[in-house]
Amino acid sequence: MSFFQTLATGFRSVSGQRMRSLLTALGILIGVAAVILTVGIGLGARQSITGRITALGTNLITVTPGSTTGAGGVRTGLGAASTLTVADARALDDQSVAPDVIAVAPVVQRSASIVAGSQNWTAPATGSTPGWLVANNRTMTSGSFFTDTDVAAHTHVAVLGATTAQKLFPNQDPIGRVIAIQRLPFKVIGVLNLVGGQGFSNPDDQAVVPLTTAQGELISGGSLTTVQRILLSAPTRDAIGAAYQEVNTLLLQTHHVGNASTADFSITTQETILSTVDSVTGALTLLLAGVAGISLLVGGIGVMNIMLVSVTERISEIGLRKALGARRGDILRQFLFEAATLSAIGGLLGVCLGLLCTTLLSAFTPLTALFSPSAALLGLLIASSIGVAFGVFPAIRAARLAAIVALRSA
Amino acid sequence: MSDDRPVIQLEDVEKTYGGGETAVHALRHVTMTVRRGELLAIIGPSGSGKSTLMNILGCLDIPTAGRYHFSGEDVSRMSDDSLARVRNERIGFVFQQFHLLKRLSAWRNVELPLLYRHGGGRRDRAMRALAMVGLENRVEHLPNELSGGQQQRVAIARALVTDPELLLADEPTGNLDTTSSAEILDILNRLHREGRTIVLITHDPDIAATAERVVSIRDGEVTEGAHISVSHLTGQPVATTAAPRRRTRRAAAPAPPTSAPAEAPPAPRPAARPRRPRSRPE
Repeated sequence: MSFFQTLATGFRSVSGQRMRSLLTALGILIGVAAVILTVGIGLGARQSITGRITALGTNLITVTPGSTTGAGGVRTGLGAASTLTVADARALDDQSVAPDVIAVAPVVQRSASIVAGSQNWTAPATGSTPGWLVANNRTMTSGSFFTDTDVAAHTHVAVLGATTAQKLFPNQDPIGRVIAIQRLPFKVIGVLNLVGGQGFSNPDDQAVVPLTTAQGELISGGSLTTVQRILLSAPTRDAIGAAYQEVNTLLLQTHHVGNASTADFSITTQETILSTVDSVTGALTLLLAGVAGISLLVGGIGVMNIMLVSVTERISEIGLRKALGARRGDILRQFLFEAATLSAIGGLLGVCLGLLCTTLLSAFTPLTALFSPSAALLGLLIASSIGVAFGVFPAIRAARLAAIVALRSA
Repeated sequence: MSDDRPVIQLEDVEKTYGGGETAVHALRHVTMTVRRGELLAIIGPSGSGKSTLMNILGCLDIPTAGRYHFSGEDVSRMSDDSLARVRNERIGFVFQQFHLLKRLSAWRNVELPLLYRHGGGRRDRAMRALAMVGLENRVEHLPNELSGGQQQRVAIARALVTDPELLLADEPTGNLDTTSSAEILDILNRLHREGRTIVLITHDPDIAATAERVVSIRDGEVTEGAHISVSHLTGQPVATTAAPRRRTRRAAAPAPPTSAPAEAPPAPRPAARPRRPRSRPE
């Protein structure tokens, strides 16, 4: 039987049982739609997380104490050691030593209660230097940032994040007002621009004060020499690698560490955070898609079930076709093609449903779901191959039927 | 020259189902010949081995022992796929149950055997075959829109569409009323007069009586029937396994005038010759 004839026969058979064909295809349909939807949600989540991290400034390099490489022996956890000093920050600020570092901001931070009049708010209080503004890629909405002079003089001035300012001074101008941070008075001299981050460490909700003031008066037991982390900024994204090397070399030297694997600090760039996020969301997407894939498998078993019923029902047709000269291969191909057609129809409808669902989800829920053409294509391919794979068993059964047995059972 | 070879030649064919003590001998030492252009009826009660014989003759099954030559070609040890080719190209089947695919129109049903071989013009050939059985006005009808007799005529058209060397009709009138039966038998007789080789399997002596030659089968043994109704009623074998030789002699020349009842004239032979070139190229 020619290929075209097989197609025509298969289509006639599938369209002859419309209701049953649709129900069979439904299993595949739901499976494919589920795969597309979960992959879409995964991609959407990755995109929004990546977007937020990028908004923080992709050229940012963060140095934290302790080590994430933790090779052997006892190691303190990340950020627990207090090995970073103001001296380190000062050394990194030297253009001749680290030419690819344009801004350095040593940082200490604590959660603080902030009071303005009758408004009470809890937010991180960050102590840093003017380099903070550049390193974090931030600007001022109103007022100004504090200066090196303020840092040197331990002044009680504060710059508020947009959210913090709104909470403490609803619909008022906070500039020039006095707030209490941990019961100490600070004069508000500026408000930061809104960057719109959410989730972990909201960059719009904090109060930034001079490093020395925070070290001396806000951090209990704090010293004027150690810092919790150092933020650095490279001039361009391409310079991050070079900056990383310069910082690493310098710190290994000043900390007298011979072997890089035992370093008492750790350097993180946005790139490494992004790649971590990528791998986490990727794994999550894969997990979800795997669950969805199980429903695709169940759909495939449905196809096999129906094909087995179909073979049983059509035993006399098979017998007749064999009597009229159909070879085993002809019968095999006919039933395989029917199974593949059912699955492909289910797959196509599934792609449509998946597309519809991702669109609706993005439009009516806070979730972002992206339609991925490659996931759709993959789903379609998998659906068709599942149809063929699960169609093989019934098809072989059909092809093996002896013509006489099949004819007699009419 | 190949035309002189019998269409069917069975030599000492046996068919046994199962093995050991429970073995069923469906056919025992069957030796028979069907010549080109003959209309042969095989008559026997149910359980006689009739169906087994029909399966072997139709190349749907192969004998356990013995030889089966179809137009000189040994088909008794052929593979499934080779047998499928023989059935497709050289044998036309007509079944008691019609076996039409109910979702396909008349001409689509007739076209079926052509799907399993190369070559185009399927619709035209199907139309011509349907015209041969007088159904040129019913080509687009579905089987359930046709009467039983018409359905069986579609089945005959399907058997004819490949222009086979042998037409094998298994109880073709078994599911039909008297009028339709007569209609079908008329068509078979006409095809016979046109030179077709037809083997008609039946349990009905009246139907067997329309054939020029009758063979009866009982308990797996085949005997040449002298006169059909008599041999059936008495149930007594007229000849032993030595019969074939006698039959061959008889069938060679004097048979048609003597055993042909009523309307079957010696016409078949002259008519058979012009047909031969058409059936050979297949």
